[in-house]
Amino acid sequence: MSTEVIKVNINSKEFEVPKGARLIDVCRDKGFDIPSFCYYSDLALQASCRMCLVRIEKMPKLQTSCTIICTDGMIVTTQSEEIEKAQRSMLEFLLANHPLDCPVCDRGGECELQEMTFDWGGLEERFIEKKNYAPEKYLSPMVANDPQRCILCKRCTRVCDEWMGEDAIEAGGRGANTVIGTYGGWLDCSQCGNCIEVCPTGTLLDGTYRHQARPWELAQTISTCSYCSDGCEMSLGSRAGELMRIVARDRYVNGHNGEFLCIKGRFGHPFVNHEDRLRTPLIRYKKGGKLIPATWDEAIRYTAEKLKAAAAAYGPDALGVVGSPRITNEANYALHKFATEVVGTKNYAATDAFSLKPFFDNLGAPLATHRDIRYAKTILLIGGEPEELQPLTAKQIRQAVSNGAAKLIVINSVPIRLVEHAAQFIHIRPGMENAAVWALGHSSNETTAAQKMGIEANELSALRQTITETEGDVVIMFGGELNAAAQMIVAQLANSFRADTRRVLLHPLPLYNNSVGAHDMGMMNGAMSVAEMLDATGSSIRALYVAGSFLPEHLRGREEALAKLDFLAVHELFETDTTAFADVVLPAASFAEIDGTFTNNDGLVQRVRQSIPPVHQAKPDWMITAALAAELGKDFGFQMSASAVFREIAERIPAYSGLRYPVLKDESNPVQARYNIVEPRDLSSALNELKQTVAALPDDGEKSNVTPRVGHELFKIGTLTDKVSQFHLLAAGNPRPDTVRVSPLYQITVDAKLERDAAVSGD
Amino acid sequence: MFIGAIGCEPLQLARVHLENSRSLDVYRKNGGYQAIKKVLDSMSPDDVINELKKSALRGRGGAGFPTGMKWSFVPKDSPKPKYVVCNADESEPGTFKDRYLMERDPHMLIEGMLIAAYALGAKTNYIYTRGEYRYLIDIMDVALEEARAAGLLGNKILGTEFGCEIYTHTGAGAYICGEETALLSSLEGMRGHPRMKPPFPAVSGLYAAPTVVNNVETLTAVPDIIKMGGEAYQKLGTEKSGGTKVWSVSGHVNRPGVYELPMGYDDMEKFIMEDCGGMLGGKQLKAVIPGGSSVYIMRADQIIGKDVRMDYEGIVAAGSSVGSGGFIVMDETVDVFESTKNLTEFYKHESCGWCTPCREGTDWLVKVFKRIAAGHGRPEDAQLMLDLCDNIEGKSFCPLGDAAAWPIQSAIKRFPEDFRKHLVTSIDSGVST
Amino acid sequence: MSIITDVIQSTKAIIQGMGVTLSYIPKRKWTVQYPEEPVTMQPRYRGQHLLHVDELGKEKCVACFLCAAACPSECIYIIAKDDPRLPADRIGVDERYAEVYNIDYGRCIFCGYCVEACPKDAITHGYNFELSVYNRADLLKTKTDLLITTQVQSKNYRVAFSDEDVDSEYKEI
Repeated sequence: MSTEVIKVNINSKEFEVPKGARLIDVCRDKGFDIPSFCYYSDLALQASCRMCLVRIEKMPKLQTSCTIICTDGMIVTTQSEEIEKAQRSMLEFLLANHPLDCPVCDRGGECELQEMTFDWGGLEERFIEKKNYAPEKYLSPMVANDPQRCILCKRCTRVCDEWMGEDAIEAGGRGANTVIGTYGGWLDCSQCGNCIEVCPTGTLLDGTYRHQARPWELAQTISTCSYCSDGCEMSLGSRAGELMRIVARDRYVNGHNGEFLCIKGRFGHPFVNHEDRLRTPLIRYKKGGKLIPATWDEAIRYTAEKLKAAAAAYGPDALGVVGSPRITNEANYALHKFATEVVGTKNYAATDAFSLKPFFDNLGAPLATHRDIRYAKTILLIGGEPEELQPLTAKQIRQAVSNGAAKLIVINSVPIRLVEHAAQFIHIRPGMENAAVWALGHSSNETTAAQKMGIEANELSALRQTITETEGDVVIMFGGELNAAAQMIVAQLANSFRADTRRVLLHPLPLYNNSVGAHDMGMMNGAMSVAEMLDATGSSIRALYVAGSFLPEHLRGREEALAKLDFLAVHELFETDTTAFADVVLPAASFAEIDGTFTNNDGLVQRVRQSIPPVHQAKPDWMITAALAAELGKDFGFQMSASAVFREIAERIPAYSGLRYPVLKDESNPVQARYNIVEPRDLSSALNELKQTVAALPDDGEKSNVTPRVGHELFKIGTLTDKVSQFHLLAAGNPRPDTVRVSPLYQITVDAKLERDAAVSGD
Repeated sequence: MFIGAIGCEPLQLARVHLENSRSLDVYRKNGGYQAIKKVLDSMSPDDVINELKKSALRGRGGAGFPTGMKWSFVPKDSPKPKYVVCNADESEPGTFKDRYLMERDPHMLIEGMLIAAYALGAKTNYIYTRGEYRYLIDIMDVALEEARAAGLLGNKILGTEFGCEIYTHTGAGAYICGEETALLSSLEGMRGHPRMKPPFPAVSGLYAAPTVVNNVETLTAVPDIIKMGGEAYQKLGTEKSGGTKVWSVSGHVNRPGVYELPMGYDDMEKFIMEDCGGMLGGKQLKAVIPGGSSVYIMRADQIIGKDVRMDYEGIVAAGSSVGSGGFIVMDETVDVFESTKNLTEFYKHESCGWCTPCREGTDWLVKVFKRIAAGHGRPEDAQLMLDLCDNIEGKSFCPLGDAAAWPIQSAIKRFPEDFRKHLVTSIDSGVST
Repeated sequence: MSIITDVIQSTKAIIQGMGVTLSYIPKRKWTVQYPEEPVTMQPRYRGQHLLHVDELGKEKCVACFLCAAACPSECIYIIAKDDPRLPADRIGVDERYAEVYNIDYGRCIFCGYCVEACPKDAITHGYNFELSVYNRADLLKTKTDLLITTQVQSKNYRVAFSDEDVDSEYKEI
């Protein structure tokens, strides 16, 4: 949209609007209410509901304001008898075949059709005929469908196509018999549920929340997703201490993700009130004995005593403190403070799949926000698989390409699904992402690297050319495949590509909701990594204090590591492979029960808010740590308030300076942490190091030509998703039941022995 | 069944009576492929378009948009490929002229398309036929194969640098695919939904490239225009609508058939009573739908003694329009309520479901018609139907909504007695809703 | 004032008072011998709520929560449940029903808003009026107490006919 201003006359009032503005947006912005169903900003135009009709002078018929771009001197009438009759008659048409079963419909109370009927509906129904009938059905374990209620605005099909790139639902049939349906009658997609979210009526409904509560009964709390690093803002609907559902509807929450959520964010919440949640602190008084319920006082006292004993016997460095990329900044900060100020150990870390420390230490350009990605002109994706691991990033990439004509360059050893949107796909041998970065680091490396990666050398120069020809934003993203030297080079790449008309932005793709936050809180600065600590158990590490659990990939091949410890204390929600060896298990509160902050992969610091009181005797992680510190003689001074913890974070961590909870209040205006942008670094040693790494890589790897199936990472069963019964169906390949009448979970037998996949990046 | 011209030399129907009229030989012997030769030898694309403009040829699909103008909207400098698409999705009830033109003289269509492709610079052209015309596709394919073998298709047509190809494509039998943008959607392999205009197909049509969509009869008129010159062609008709028009006559006349009349043929009454052999069984004329189902229905007294000229302006002045030229004659035995019900059911069945007023409005109207037919009519139903039509008309996404509303509006206004009969009877018999 | 006048005046007052009392003895008596005799209720009397069933015995309530939303004293608590079975097997008329339907009569003010809000005519006020209990917790009535098929109707009331005049006793005074 240009900055040029034109004049538009709406209802006899002159307005100045930017050139190229859409009439419906302008009218709404200026306070003229225009009803619409099918218009949804940033989706393809539909103009099918015909609710937004306006009169424009010199045009023969009433025009749909959603299709009109304002022109200079346009004279528009949005309110007149003629227009009102047209709008009222459209609503009458929509209601003609719409069943009036609002008392049963889950959308009742937050239904756009209901609201519109209040404003534009007639007092009496003129339609006395029999309504068309179409049976209710389930489209998938997650999505319930009542075709009768459909007004065919097709937001769902457009969202499925444009946001998700899946095209899994489409209209079938013709005329008044048109219904929204799937190919083959069973929804085969990533089950994001965005079709449910954007549906203005009760046609597509959350199958897991079906008939559970009414929207006005739910307390809506705005919070941040606890799964991947995109940090979607969402609204938790709770009632009587139970988390009922999670939505991202505009009417409740207005975060940087809009109404987008993925399957985990939307449906992966039943763990919060699950019956397997730990109820009380547990103590194993004797190695090999049972975990016995205890009081908090006893558990804290016992833990403090054991830690003190271990420190006295082996020195403070024999104690390891392990944080987690899944818990809040406050919790990680408290753990870091506990490790450094209370215990005085240099061995602390967070259980992340990879560390971003080399990246942030050498950061040469700002982090890209998701909005920047949507409007970027060139996107370079090195490794990673955002459509499975960071769905919002993938959605923004897709929209940037299809709605914003951006160029996507994918460097990957696997033809991931995003490749079909890519302008260029550099298909490298497996494990060669470091070589690609090495080649990007200096053009003289291209030939050798290309040979190593199994590609033509001109593919790399074409990439370089695309970037250097870009006017606008270039976003460089990278996954967990890069080693420390490669991360450093990527962080500094901006210096070689920056120009007056070109901004280079960086976007790491860590796996967890607070991977970035765990780094910021200093949990990655310890002397040992998590793997090294586990390897050292029984020798230099004698006791571990762990928040959360170790990742399956950390424990793989180290099954005996935890048994060698003198003492292990764990905060957890559930019993896990880690708690099996724990001497003390402390029940922690989940994200829905606490206040705090998460930092996403944009560097946005976003609030986590308490939706329900902690279940059973659970406590927030930072409170447990603070209690332990108090028992060991150090008062953190947090005074039971998460905001006090955050204030201390803001005081001590430069990137967060000046932040307070009130500053983070507005989720529609998120605050980015101010990371230090370093001066250009000398990369020769990093390049040299990388050269040796690359030279050591075997160059006979087979490239995979198989596009991984939808959900291969997304549907993986982890500790938390394990608690959603529908996930098991999806993980088993989303089989179609023979007769889909209603809730398929009653009809399909889920194999109880479904093997739990050893999830690297589960959850 | 009569096929022939009245009041003029047959142009479109010049060869339909010849034996083997489909074959290339017969077409060539009777002046075929002369026009394309003339075009390739001596005319520039702009000359062709100018000739078309002079001829005052108007689109024969129904809307009557001047063809020369339509062709001139195609941007010359567009880097994209351009397409000529022949709309042979003749699905307007009462219309069957294109079927005879394609069945009896397929090469005339091919020649017309070649000239259009030359004028517009199109290399790929499509003939989009409705699914029910399967056998016509076979005829067209044979004709195209003949033309290809004779060097009239493919590269270097008639030895010149000009080359293009024509492909046939069938729809699945949807009325909406006769609407040009829906036709293009269908041709692209998507659901046959109309698209937003603007952009018009001339700018962004098939595969978002400049595209001209023309009716069969429009394209078959092109060779004659080139042969005789635009002005001569225009003089056959009137100033604003040049040339001849092919009418499909059906209903209660003694001689139904395909009639070629010059534009501006005077007196519709004479046409019915004399040229078409008069009313079947000597009955009284009651109503005429002059241009396919989606135009206003006319009362007999709007025709008899009124000297209705048969061209675009004349019929509009008389209270209807030419449409696609599907001339349906009804005698006194017809109940206009029933015939309108039949048409409305057609429109309900063919509504594509894209926009609200057409989808729900036609469904509602059919339900009202059925209820009245079942004897449950209420006096206020006529007003209800008129109001529903008013709510559909001008508010739908594409013209199908208007097309569904007009027959009902005109039928209720012009034949109120037929409707009153149904509404009043039910009240007398005490049947309540 | 002498003691004699005092006695006379007192006696006069007693006779006067007793006269009024005695004059009522032959008149029609309004006193209801509750609980020996049933109380007559206005047809529109708002007593303990009734949850209704349809002619097939299916609960009419679809757990739409509108009664709870309308309730000014927030005394209605519902837990809705999905009933995915075929209509013949269902508990209610639709695929959602109230698994729990509680009314706290310690809070209820018998305003009747819940009845007005109900889109399915599933809840009405009944005539049971003897709601006093020994334990405050017993004021919470559950679905069994409210459902028309299971609510025990008191023998101590009868409903007046629509043309019956039950208000006259107040009019006379």
